[in-house]
Amino acid sequence: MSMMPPATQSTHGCIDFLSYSASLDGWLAGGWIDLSWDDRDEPPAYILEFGETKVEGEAVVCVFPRPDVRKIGVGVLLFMPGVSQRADAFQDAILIRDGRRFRLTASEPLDRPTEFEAIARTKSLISSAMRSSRRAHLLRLLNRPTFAGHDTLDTLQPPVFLELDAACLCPPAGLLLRGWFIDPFRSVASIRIRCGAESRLLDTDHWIRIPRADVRQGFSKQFGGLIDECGFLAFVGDVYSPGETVYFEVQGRLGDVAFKRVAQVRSAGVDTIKETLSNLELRYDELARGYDHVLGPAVAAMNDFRLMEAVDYKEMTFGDSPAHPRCSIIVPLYGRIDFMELQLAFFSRTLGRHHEIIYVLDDPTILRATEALATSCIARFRLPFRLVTLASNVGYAPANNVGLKLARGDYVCFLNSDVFPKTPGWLDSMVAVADARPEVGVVGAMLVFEDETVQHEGVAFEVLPEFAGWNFSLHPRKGRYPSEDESVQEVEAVTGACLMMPMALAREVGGFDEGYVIGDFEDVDLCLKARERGRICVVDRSARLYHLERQSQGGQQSSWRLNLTLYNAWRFQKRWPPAALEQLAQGESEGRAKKAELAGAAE
Amino acid sequence: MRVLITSHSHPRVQNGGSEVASHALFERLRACGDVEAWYLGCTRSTAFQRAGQSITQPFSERDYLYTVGEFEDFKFANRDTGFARDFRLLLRTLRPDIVHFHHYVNSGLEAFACVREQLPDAKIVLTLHELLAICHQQGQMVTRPDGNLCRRSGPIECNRCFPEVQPSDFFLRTVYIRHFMGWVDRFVSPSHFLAQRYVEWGLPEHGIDVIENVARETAKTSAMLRPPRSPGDLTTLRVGFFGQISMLKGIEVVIEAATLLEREGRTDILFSVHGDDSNQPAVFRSTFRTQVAAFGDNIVFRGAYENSEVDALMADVDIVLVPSVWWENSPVVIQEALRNGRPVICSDIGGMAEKVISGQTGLHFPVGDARALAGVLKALAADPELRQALLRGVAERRQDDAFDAHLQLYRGLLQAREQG
Repeated sequence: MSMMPPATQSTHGCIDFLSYSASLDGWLAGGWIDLSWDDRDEPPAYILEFGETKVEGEAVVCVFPRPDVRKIGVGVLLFMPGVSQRADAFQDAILIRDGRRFRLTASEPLDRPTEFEAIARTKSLISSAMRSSRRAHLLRLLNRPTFAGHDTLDTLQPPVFLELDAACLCPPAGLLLRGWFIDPFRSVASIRIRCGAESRLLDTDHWIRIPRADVRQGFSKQFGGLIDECGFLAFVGDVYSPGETVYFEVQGRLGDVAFKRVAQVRSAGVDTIKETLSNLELRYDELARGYDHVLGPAVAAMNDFRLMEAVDYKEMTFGDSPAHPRCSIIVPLYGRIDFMELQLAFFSRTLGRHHEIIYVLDDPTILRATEALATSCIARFRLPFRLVTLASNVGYAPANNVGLKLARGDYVCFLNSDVFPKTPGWLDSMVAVADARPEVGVVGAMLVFEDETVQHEGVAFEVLPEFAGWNFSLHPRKGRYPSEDESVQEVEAVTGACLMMPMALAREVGGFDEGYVIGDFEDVDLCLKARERGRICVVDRSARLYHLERQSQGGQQSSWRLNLTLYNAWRFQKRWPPAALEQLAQGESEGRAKKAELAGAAE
Repeated sequence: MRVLITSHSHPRVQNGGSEVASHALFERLRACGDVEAWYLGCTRSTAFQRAGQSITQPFSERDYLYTVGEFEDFKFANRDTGFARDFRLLLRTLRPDIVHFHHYVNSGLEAFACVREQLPDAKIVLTLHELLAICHQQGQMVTRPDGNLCRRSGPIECNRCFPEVQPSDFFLRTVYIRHFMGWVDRFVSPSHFLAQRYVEWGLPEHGIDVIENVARETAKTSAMLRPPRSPGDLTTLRVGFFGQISMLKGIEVVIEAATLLEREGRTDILFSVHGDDSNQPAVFRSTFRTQVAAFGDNIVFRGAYENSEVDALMADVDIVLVPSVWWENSPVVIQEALRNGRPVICSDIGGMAEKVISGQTGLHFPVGDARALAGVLKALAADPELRQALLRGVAERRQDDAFDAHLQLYRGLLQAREQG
């Protein structure tokens, strides 16, 4: 025991040792407390002060005889459930009983044993403590089994089954867990994920349930009352540290504990995003829950990690592009490079030489073929262009943003590779619209299908009840005959298939938000960012281009692609909740009214 | 006048109808005093290639040959950078007033834009030899795989024949082809049928001249001099089939008609089948050979023949049968038959029906209908007067000189250029 510290008026004892126990999820401490402490079963509140940071909760307190302080106090052992902190910042522990504060200050120096030393020391000291339910409880905790590196789940009675199919890192420290769980006797009280000093409770109320008929059938002879939805997809944040073993700790209602090791944690990439979003069919209210608690944070983390490194690229020039172009056309290429051939053929007759064309190849697997085709295109069509090739496949928004960085025009026109001009002068017309009206932030085009029906004449938002009541961008009048009207019309947003804006504005808003994965919603997001800055979106109906829609080969769209759209939709709702959209529209109409008023007054 | 004729092939490489016709046009232009003419053929064989050069001159001083590099057959895009370079150079060297393309395969559609870029004043003429631009199924306008006649192409229709190709890709194919055809000043079609199909597809009607292919100048052969048999000899009707032994050429219709006639015990209608079956699928070939072998003397398979032999072979038949079950654009075999004074019995569709006037230079029967064909043959065998009338009709038919029409077309274009 340490030397007795000087008792001052403001202290009521002392903390001699303090250690955080990850397996107990709390702090173990020992010291002494003055004789006025009322030792009874009711747990006192505690506050641990670590500089500015405080950890609070209810403490388990046991006293024991300590001859060295017998005239002024008794020995005390404390267990304070709570989160881990840096122990060297510890200052004081405060116990609060009946409104009275007992301040226990850190001894000089404070002993900071390891978790296991602290458990051993507490166990040895507690043997001399008075018998009480607190003592029994603390002993139970101290005698709790700890993970020794092997699975003990099969020791639980009644039986519980937990298997993990995949654990995927959601950087920096989150984990996405896919597996199945059967608790036929409802005997499990909690499941925790542990890794090193960190532990997180698995929120089974919010994990996504997945039908696993195969698992149910396998157990249905043994147990009754099983349901198909015994599969799960769960996310736990902030738990993983590299090099540490990850394991489940399953606690029964009787306090019994067992462990299950997580064999492998996979690193994250596009493939894991795809796997995460495969074979799920969430609709209505499950959708918001599933994305809020599991898919949203998991996919966001994986995507952020994917984009952490700057995109490596190189640029080739074919012919002499203008040094000061009016507009820079940026076209990301993926898979179909023959679209570049078609576009350049058509541009050679529909595009003035005062614009520049930048292709961004977002598909390194076809680099050589693209370079060869680019060489052939300049030889045949004699229309200068720049080809930027990315070292890895990064997706729509990042690919466009690389193009944006390199663009030199007064304006930028984001164009899909499957959009082909129908009328000559389409881009000059769009540029003229923006030139004439400084309030215009985004100009879209009139896009038609091959049968001349409308593909896009502006985007509108619509709430879809089957998809959590989220806002989705729709193309009104799609598939219908277009009107002859060739005017310029204000719209809520325009499609990124052909979206032109002033270069300065595009750079000011940071281009496309790369948090949308692969390619949905970032175009309308970009439009809303422009509107947020007081600019408007219009469609120039005289600029007509073809936008071809591909028929899906396998009938239904693959489930991961649809779920990815839903992820992007979720992200869009977080960024632009309905109230924000309404506010934007309201602000604009007020602005218009004010303008009209001013104009009226001027007259 | 300086004229460059280009063709998708070359008669020294391959003996197809359009390369033969285009080369014949070139030869006749060369023979004109006031015309300078050159020929640019194409080949996919590398036999004539010289390293680093895409265009060589293996045959004669005025005869060029392009060895095809990377070619995209779906939309007829020539991706060969060597051609883009060498063709431009050739144009600048020859400086033709007229560049007359026969076909767009192999040289590629971009060649039209190339001419316009290099020689803004030159006139571009394109002879449409087939329906490839309209139909991806080898330009046959016959559905795949069931072989029905197709009357309308389009993204949706074409996707039915080629489910592996998206409708949008068929649309882009069409836009690409039309885009480059936009540089052409004048189209030539050897038949009204073909011209009409292209008009329906989107070419301007007034932009197409219908001019028959120019025939190769041939010495009068013994066969051509041999008169048809006298009425007294007409105890049998000798029916000749000349061409590829293939399903589309209607060989099955011939076999079926012959079977019907044999069952009726007819021995006075004799078929001789001339043509190559070596390119056909093995099953088709063996079925055909077995069927022919099972017949007695009234159907004989004579095998493949050289183009130079056709006149002699036609001398031994009374009529020529063209029973194709696809449209045919302007079949060479009809030209050959009429040149040899032989009436033609043909299917009542497309280029066949147009080139053979029923009751004058031959007779029509409903396409694919073997029973009707047998009926027509029986009627003809039984009616010596009709046979005589058809022979007279063939002999007296009005023949426009296709070469003169071409010259006239070129002169008209250049005249308009000077005036305009």
